[in-house]
Amino acid sequence: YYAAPNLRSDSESDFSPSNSEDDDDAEEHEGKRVDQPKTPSKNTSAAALYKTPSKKGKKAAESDLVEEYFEAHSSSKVLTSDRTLQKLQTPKLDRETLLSLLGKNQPRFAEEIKQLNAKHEKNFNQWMLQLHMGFNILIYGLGSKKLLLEKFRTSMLSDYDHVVVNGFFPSMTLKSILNSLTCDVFGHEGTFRNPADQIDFIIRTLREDPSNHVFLVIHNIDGPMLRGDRNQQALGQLAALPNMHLLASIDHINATLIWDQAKMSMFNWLWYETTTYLPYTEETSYENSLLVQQTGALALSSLTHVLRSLTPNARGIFRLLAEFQLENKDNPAYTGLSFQDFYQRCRESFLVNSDITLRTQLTEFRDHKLIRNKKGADGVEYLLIPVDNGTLTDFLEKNDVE
Amino acid sequence: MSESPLTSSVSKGCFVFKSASKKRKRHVGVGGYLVDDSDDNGSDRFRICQKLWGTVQMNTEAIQDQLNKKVLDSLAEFIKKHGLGCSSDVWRQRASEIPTAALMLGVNVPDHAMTFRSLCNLLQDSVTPFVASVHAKECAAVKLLIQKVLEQLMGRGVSVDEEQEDDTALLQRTQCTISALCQWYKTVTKKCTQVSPQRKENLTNSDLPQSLPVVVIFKDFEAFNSQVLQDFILICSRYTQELPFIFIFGIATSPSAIQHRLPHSVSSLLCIEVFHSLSCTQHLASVFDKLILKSQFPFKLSSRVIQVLVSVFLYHDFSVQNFVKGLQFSMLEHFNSQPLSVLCCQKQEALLSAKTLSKQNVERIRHLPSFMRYVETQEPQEQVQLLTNDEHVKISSASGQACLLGGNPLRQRGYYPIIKFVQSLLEKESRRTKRTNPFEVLRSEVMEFIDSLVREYLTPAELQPLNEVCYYSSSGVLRQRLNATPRTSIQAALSHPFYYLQNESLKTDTGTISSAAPDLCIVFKLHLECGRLINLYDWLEAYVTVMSAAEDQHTDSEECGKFDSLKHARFIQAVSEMEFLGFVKSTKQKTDHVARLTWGGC
Repeated sequence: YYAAPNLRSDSESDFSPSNSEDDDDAEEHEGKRVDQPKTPSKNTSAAALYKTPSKKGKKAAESDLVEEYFEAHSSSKVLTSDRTLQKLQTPKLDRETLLSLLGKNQPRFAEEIKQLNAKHEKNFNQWMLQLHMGFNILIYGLGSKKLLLEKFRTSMLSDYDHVVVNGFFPSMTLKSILNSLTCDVFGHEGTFRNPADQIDFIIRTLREDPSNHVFLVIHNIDGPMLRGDRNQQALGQLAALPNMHLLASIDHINATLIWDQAKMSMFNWLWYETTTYLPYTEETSYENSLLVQQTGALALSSLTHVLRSLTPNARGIFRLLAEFQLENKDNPAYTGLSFQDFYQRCRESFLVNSDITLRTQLTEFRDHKLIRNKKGADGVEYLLIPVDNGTLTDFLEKNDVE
Repeated sequence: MSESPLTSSVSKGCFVFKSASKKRKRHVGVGGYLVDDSDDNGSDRFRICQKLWGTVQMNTEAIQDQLNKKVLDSLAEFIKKHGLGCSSDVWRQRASEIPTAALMLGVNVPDHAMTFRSLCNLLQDSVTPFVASVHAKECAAVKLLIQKVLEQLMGRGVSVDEEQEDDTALLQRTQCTISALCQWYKTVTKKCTQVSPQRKENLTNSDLPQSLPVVVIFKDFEAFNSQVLQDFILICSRYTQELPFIFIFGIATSPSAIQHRLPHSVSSLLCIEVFHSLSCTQHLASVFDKLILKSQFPFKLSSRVIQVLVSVFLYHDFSVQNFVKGLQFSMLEHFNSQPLSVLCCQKQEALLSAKTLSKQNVERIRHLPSFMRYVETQEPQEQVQLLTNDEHVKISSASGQACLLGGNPLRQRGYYPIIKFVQSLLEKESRRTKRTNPFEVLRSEVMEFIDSLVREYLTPAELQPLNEVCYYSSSGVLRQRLNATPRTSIQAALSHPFYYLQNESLKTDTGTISSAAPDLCIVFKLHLECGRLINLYDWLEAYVTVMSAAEDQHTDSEECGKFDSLKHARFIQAVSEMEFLGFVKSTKQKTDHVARLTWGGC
């Protein structure tokens, strides 16, 4: 099930009874309908979806896919227009503006989405039963599933110790998950040499007290920090414990690639489709989006803060370098200002009087990551400010006003 | 504080919640989670389910042990031969070689654990107490591998002579060397010889206790770092005089893996013998024969469910453990969703519980399609009885259940085609000869008799009354739970939102998408039309065009190049969601472009 959907249905129809089974599902559904004809069951959609790809000609679909792949990767030439976002009146929105704008947005189909989610909530009892029987629950589908899991947590787990893990959190580590289990749940106060020892401790503790059930709710177990092999191995070891119960969600389209057969059997997943259509507001809030002016704002404010604490001469030195960089912004061959040139210019502006003063000053800049050294082809060191030109212009303008 | 911020923070990602009440819910209360809580039979059903699951576990283990017996016995024989024959002249000649058993286990990795467990038990019971088994993931370096082996050996060795436990406490990890093991082995075996003769009797073949072999099992040979493995083998080969090592490699692929991983200089130090374990299809076949098709096992699977389970097995993983997991899930699902499954147990129990059926459940029996069919075939008077008299239903359903259980497993195996085939053969023959002698007449009479008998008593399970009680038939649910396709689901939700959000405005022809659809769906649809790289500006423009077209009735059209900031914001959100889902990623190839990670119109 790692292949693209079309491939899957094709290959399966060759040897497995999946085709006839679709009919069966439909029949089954007909049967249910007699009982309660009003409810728009999810089965309709699922059965109908399974059918769509199989209608196409088997051979044709497959060759299409192959050709599409090669078409997409055939030439390195890019056939898109050259327009850039600079043409927009507001090329980049900052995060606050974005959030306030989205807050005003009236969500569409609120009623339908509510119904859809209410349907998922009916599974809660079943999940609890299956978790207790040694299965772990994995939910997938379009839309943020954070709210759903949160609702599950508040409505079903209040009698149990449980840990919630935000897999999409950019500085998530395995250690923090293990620490919250050992320190906060089991109240252990020692330290551990390595994660393996810590996991051993957790396994021992849970074995000693089989009536102690611990629930682990992981939002986005396929998150960038958790998807590594080691982390999944460790989580799998935890999931395989009979009284540790795992509820996780996945969102990335290739999420299933992180588990091999051995890990799959450790996790012992039961898959539930929970399409929610809710926006991924929290999950994407950390992401460094292309269109959001995020790093720029941060860099600008930190620049200003650092510069304010410096002497007027030091500020002048930095300003000189910034101006020189902006003058050369249209020159693609510009690699930075060499130290000798820089020293010459600084002397001329009466900013420094000796080689050593400038070097000391530059070291300080480097410590604050305000400048970067780059060795040129001739072995001479060139100095650069690693901030994009827009931010630098803003900075200079702001300084002028002050 | 509002609801959600409890678990959202920009500074941490883990949130711990201790249980509110100190008194924890016990496992007994789990039956309460069965779907139908109004029914008081929930706990009963749960009990039956647990009991059946216990039977399944016991049986599968027994089957596994039985099937592995042959190969495990021959392995034990191999170790005895090499380990205990240590003093013989043959052994001295090849003293530097380490006897190695290459155990071919097949690709179904999840099932191996059970085999190794029984292997370890067998060896410890009948051959040698010195058995260590290592996993590749714990042994990234030689040091770690040696540590693991020593830890296990010394820990186990200690348990053999309990009275001396204190002296041989675990060494500090830093002192873990093979020579330390050597010293320890010497003292332990010396003790063994000195200890009372009664102790000797406990060990089989204890004439030469000092030559008890030291067995190291490499559970997943292919996953080991080959340098680590080589070094370990080289080190061990130096100690073969003092330490009778024997290795067991668990190999998932083929014996050539050894040649691929180890250079000749190292593999020549090993004296390898290959052992083959049973193929997984045979294993599955015996699980079928001895468990699922047994008439004593009241829970049955419909043919479609079996097909799903078998196809997952044959076309995906070859894992019997996963098959049993599927069986467990089916059982749980059956007892969870079908209140009448309370009758799904042995004959006597079923008769008892049929007597105490609640009024609600009797009503449920009347609504079963198979029961309705049964009623239709009955006499009018009987029909009235069945539809009005609860007691009568109870009696007939009890007998019906008994009948179901008594049924022959042969019906699962396509008995009909065989009968038909024989019949057609006979027909052809009689047509050719044109002449009928008395023998042939007799023969065809017998055939007809058998045929009618089979037709009468071997009706397909689906047609028998009350089959719903014992047969689990929701193959669709099973497939969704065990063999899901998350990507299909995401793509379907993006391109056919109507299936999920049943709103008339979303209904469109195939291939197009309504402009009223959620932002993400529209952005997705637009991105499908692009090649490898997507220009963000053009994408935004296309999106705004679609959105304005949708709103044309209400607002004036917008000026070019200046976009409504709300639409801009919504577009940004949708694009970051596309990135989050893995459809696009940022690229430096061209300014303000993103790269597409999928291809074609899917």
